[in-house]
Amino acid sequence: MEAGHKLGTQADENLVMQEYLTFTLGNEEYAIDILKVQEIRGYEKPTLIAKAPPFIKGVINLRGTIVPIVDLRIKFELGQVDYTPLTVVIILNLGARVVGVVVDSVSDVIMLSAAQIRPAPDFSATFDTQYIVGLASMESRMVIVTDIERLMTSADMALVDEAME
Amino acid sequence: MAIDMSQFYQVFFEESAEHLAAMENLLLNLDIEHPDDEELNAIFRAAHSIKGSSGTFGFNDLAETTHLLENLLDRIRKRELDLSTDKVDAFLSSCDVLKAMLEAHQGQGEADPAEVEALSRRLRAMSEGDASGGATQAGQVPSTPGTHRYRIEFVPTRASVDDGGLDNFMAALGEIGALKVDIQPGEPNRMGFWQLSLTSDQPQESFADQLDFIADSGAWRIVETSSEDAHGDEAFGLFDDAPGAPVEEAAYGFFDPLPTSAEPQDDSYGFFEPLPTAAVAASPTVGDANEEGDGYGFFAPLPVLAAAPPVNSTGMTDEGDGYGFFAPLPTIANAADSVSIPPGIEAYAKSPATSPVRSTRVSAEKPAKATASGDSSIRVNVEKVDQLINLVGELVITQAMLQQAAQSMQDATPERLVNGLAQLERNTRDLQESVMSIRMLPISFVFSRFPRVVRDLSGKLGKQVELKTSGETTELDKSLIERIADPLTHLIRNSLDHGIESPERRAVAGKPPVGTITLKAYHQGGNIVIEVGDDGAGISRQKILAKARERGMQVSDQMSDPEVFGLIFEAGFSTAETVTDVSGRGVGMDVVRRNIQAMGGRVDIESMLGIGTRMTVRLPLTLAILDGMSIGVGDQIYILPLASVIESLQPTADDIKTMANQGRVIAFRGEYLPVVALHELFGLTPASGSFCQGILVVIDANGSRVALFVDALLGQHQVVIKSLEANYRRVPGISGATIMGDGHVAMILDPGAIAAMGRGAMAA
Repeated sequence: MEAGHKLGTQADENLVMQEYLTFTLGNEEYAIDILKVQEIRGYEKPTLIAKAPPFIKGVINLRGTIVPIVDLRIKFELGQVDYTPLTVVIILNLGARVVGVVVDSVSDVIMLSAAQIRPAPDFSATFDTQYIVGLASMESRMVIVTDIERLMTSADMALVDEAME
Repeated sequence: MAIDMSQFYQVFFEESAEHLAAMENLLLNLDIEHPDDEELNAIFRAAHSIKGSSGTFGFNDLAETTHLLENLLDRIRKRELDLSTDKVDAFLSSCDVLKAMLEAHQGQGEADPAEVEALSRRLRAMSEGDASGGATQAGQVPSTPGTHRYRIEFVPTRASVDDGGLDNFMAALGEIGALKVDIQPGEPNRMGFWQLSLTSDQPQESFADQLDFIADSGAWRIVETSSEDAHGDEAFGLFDDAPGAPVEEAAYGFFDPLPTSAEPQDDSYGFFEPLPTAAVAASPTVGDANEEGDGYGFFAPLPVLAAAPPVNSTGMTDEGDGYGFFAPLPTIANAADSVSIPPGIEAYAKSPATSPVRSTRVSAEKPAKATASGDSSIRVNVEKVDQLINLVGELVITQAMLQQAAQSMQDATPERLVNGLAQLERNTRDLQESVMSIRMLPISFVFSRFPRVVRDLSGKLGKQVELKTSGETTELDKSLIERIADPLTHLIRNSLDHGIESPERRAVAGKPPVGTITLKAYHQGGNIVIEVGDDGAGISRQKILAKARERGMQVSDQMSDPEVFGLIFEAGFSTAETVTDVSGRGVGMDVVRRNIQAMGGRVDIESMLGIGTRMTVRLPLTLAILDGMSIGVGDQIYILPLASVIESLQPTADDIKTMANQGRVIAFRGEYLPVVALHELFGLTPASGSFCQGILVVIDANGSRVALFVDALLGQHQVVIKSLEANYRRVPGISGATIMGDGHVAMILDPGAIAAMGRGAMAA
């Protein structure tokens, strides 16, 4: 067991593939762990929440559950913020919470192994790098692999009373 | 009395089963080498609780066994005895025996008396440190405190009469207690029905074995009478008409109406008409079934007797509905054997009395079981119930959506769809009601603790107080029941301490020395109202005002009574001259009000000096549903709790005045109320900026009033409250969210917070 471990690690990294859902925000492509995704649905006008930050669009009724909707395009100041019939909401299941995020479009489900994800260079931006797991390249595209749970529960998002960090 | 207690049996069974399960669990996890004191104590407590309640309910066999168990556990936890594996084993097996006993009392299965006896011996041996076990004679152990009264009924076998077994048995009984012969058959052969009364401190197991020896199994029974004298005697009265009635006569009764019969015979059918009489007469313990005796299970009941002879099965027979009516039938059959009767008739006597007994044994047992489980309950996790309530809430919303969709089609709606939807509406409403009722509990769960509170406190304070309760059956949501207990306790303590005067003072005031506190619960509209009243000194308006001025509060003599009395709910406010350990520190009443408001309720005080005080608590029936008024602001819809809405008015431009060119006020019924514009508070665009176009809703927020400016009043709804915090966070001014008929989310406003925000905005 121990002896073969070293060999195995290399093999594991290449073999254990995880599925990611990719979506676009403006010109950028993001990937999130597909196990965090509950469903994808069309955008419907949410009910406003008083005095909420602008990227929190409000809440919707998802089969009896009140679900807040976050527009990541506003949050990251990316792309055109308009709501068309093609605008999609990804409903995320983060621990016990359900949150919806508005994105420009959902593109693909990709398989990535740990080896394929490279560390992102550290630079300050609106998008705090601590929420970035790394960067991966798919063909000619670059995909930003995001720790969506950490992002959505951060104090920055103002989605929870006390951030879980 | 017996009937009164029986309604609590189910609770006792459930609780005891829980205690047993807890005990078993603890025993299983016990570290025998180094037992944890806490764990030992917990086991002891469990045994103690079972003993206590089984004693209360008259299940003496349970009480006896747990008593032994408790003794042993007590010594172990005091470290007088060491814990060992075989002790734990003994404890575990006693858990099993207790479980069997519980089940037997519930009419399922039976407890093996021999096993019980063996266990008691084992426990006793252990507690005496006698490892050999079982050496102790049952008869020598002072096992139970107090004495028992037994009624022993049997028909001895011929052999036992002839060889003196009967005499020996009587002598043995005479040794262990005071024996009295109530009924005894005629001298010639002494065969027949015997009834003895025995007062002894011995458990019935100590002589049951011997009894089994001299009488055929099924032809004897021991009934413990101490707890139910009246019950038994009543039924016995029948027999008094025929003192010492020899059983021969009863046997003849088979074919010929019994002359001494005191029973109405209307209900018994046909052939063996008088049999019920004879049977009933001989079977006092099933007396309850007399009126219901409709003759079913004519020959069935032997199994009842045979199944659990020594068990005092009142609970079961009460529900027996006439099954098991003729329990002592074998008695008669026996007697019939001993009398010479023509063969043809003997066949009759035997065939109904003996053979069908065997064949119907099973069928007779079943209905008894079914009745026993009929009023049983299951314990369900509250979460599951809540989930069910949520789902039904969804169903109601969906149903409303369908209804709206159908209405929008107007005449184009197919009639079948309309009918179907109407049916669906009815069904969903019924479903919702029944699901909501799962969570409803009678308020007696809370009220039941107060007699004790009042008793203890009045003793401490040297006052004489009587507590009168009414409306205990009023039902209330479980979560409210849990949360109302503390505020109510506080109100009652307050009434006792401040309200009711000492007997001397009451005498001076010309009142009876015994004060009365009334506790009343009833439904009013969609609310439950709980009143705590006393006939004490009442609240002095002057005193409160003086105290308030002393504390630098803004008060005036013009304030209305409710407003003045409302001051006692302010934090730190107390008019008590002396601070006692009961109350007077001024903490509490503010907590009471806060707690009640947190439940969506409110509390009012009425008082007359010298006559008494009444505090009225109003609570919503449930926390899950709210009566709300929907209001429109801009393109948004909000729900305002109806309970806080006082009235609404359409202002003219002149009505609204400004203060310092900032704060707006409106004159409303003689006072100036601050005007809070919801759209400003929430940053919305109103339909119209002018106050004349919208509507002012006067809301009561924690005692203070504000006028809320909104665009329109839309309607009144019952809404299911949903948590916003489950997936989001607290939003100031919003207490929750709900889903409207069209599937959209609407926020529920928090009037208190809105008023505070409004005032804050104005001050800023």
